[in-house]
Amino acid sequence: MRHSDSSGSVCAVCGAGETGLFVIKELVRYGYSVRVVDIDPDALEKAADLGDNVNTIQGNCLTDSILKKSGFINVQALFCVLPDDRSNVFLSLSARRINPELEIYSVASDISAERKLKLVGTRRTVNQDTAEGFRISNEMIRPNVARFLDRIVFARENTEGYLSIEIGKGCPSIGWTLKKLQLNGTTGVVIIAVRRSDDSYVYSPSGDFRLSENDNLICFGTEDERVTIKNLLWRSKRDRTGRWKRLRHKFTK
Amino acid sequence: MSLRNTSRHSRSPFGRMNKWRGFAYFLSSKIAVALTLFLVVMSIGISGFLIFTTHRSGLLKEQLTNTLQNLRNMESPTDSQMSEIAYIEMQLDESTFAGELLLSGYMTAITITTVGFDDVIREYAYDFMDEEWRRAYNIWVTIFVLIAYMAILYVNANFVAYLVGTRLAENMKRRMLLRNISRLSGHYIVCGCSGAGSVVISEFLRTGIPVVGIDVDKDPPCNLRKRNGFLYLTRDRSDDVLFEEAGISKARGLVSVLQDDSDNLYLTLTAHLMNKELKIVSRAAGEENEEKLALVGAEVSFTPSIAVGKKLVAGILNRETMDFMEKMIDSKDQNCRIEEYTIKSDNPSIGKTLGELKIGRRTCISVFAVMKQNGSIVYNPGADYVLEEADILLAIETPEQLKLLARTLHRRGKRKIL
Repeated sequence: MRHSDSSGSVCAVCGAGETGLFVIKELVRYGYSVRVVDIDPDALEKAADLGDNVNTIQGNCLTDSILKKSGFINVQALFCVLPDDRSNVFLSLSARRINPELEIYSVASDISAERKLKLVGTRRTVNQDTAEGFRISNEMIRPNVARFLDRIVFARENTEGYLSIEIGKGCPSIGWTLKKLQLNGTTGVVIIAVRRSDDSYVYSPSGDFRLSENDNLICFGTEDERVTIKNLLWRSKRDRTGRWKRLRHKFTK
Repeated sequence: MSLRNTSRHSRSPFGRMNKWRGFAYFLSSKIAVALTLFLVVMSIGISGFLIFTTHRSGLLKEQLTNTLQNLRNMESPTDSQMSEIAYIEMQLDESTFAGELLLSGYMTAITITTVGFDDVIREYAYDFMDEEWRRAYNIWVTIFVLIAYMAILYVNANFVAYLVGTRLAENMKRRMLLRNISRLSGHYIVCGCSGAGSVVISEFLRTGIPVVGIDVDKDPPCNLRKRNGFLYLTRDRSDDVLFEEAGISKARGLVSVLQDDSDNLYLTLTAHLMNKELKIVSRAAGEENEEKLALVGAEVSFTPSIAVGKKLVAGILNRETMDFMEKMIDSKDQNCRIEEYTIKSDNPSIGKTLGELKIGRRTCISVFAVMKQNGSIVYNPGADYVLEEADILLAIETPEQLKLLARTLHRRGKRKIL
């Protein structure tokens, strides 16, 4: 699942400043081919040195002609890392108009710009101050968590990691509590959080937590465990109630 | 060392903790001059009035003694006369030098303040003095009042100017602040309170860690004002003085997120020299400066572009995970975080299983992973997982729950006997 299909897909990066160069480096490391647009030829030279599958295009990326020339229509994702917010918003908007299916990632330096970028259709905005600030505070207060997350997010091999299991429509487990489902007992997996349908989270849900439609169970584990849990959740009601219970039910009736 | 250089602190008379130095500054200030002037005027007044008072009480005493003599010479004094004798005797006993001094002080006070109770003055000046003394008294009061009036004008003006202009309130505030800082220990110092710095500070405060912020502005940024546990110092003096005021010897860590790399480098070096055990995290705007910062004692130095770039790339690599992680580790509007708890070597829980400790039931959190000493991660540790030294427990919890977890793990098990 995770970025296993990354080889061969193409990303575009607008702006080859420090952040841009870092993004290019990481993308190349994960096997993407990258197209870079920048005005400055020196920066493009630096970018070209980062890998073989980096194509550089010199020009102002705020003009539509450059965007069309660089073949943005075929690109999977666009990274806007221009130095000021206004250009980033403008670039996102024009790129969105040319290719409605483009995934756009952008940096922003304040909250209002972030809101505008979201409005334009950016998939993800990263606030510079927040990113940096939390990086520092995590480094100070909880250095190991930061390490752990880096490992999870940037893990290459697909062994163990973050699992998010959706409870779709018609799932027989809807309305059951976690305790009755015996997820912990059978699989050993700890459900760390549940994302509700309105995007809010319930952390460390207790045994009395009742599942509802469109909930996402979040846990850490292997792909095998994901399959086990899915099977457990989609078992029919008949399988779940034990034989003894069924018999008792029959007698009492 | 340069810390002992007094001329550096001349901007704030009360700034330093040293009492005597503060007193010296106090003496050199204008308010001290005014106070001295006031005292001089008072003493002139008291000594002047003392002459008149002594003369007056001498006259009074003479008069009283005469009356007493007359009364005593009577052959059969009535009751009222007896009581008069007693009264006069008492008055004579009481007319001491202290009493004269008190009266002169009183006269000086009512003259200087232009209160001038009419009957008091009349009694004082006219009832007991002969013509020459009265004239002398008038001349004296005229001169004295004129001198006193000017002196009082000067004192008043200076006093008001001091209150308004010489930052009395500010100094008091600063003194309070320094006292509060000196009570801290295990706190963090953040240099640079805007942008990334403010995010760092609010995250520290959310976790319940006291922070001392340092920046060039006079006031802290408005989103941090009135946050509990946040103390702010203005960067208006040399860095080592400032660090000393911020309690660097007792601090646990220092974050330097100024815009300029040379500034960061200098602060890092200064802090490292003052406290070798300090954990220093510093920003390096240029990637090439990371090494230099590490050289002068920064434990972690990183470029902001990497923090941003990493998040951008993580979005495309692993979006779902990143969304959750982002919520877990750096969202501003929630209190739950993934937190870590390291089992130190003196923890009594080493060798016990998680089930034995009943962590789930006591703290309502679930430990979802344990990082071992060798760097491997054990996901979903079951109830039979045995805790070892240097294990790091990871769980989603609020700061309060983290404290509860620490308490649970430090319980010395009584049930062991059973």
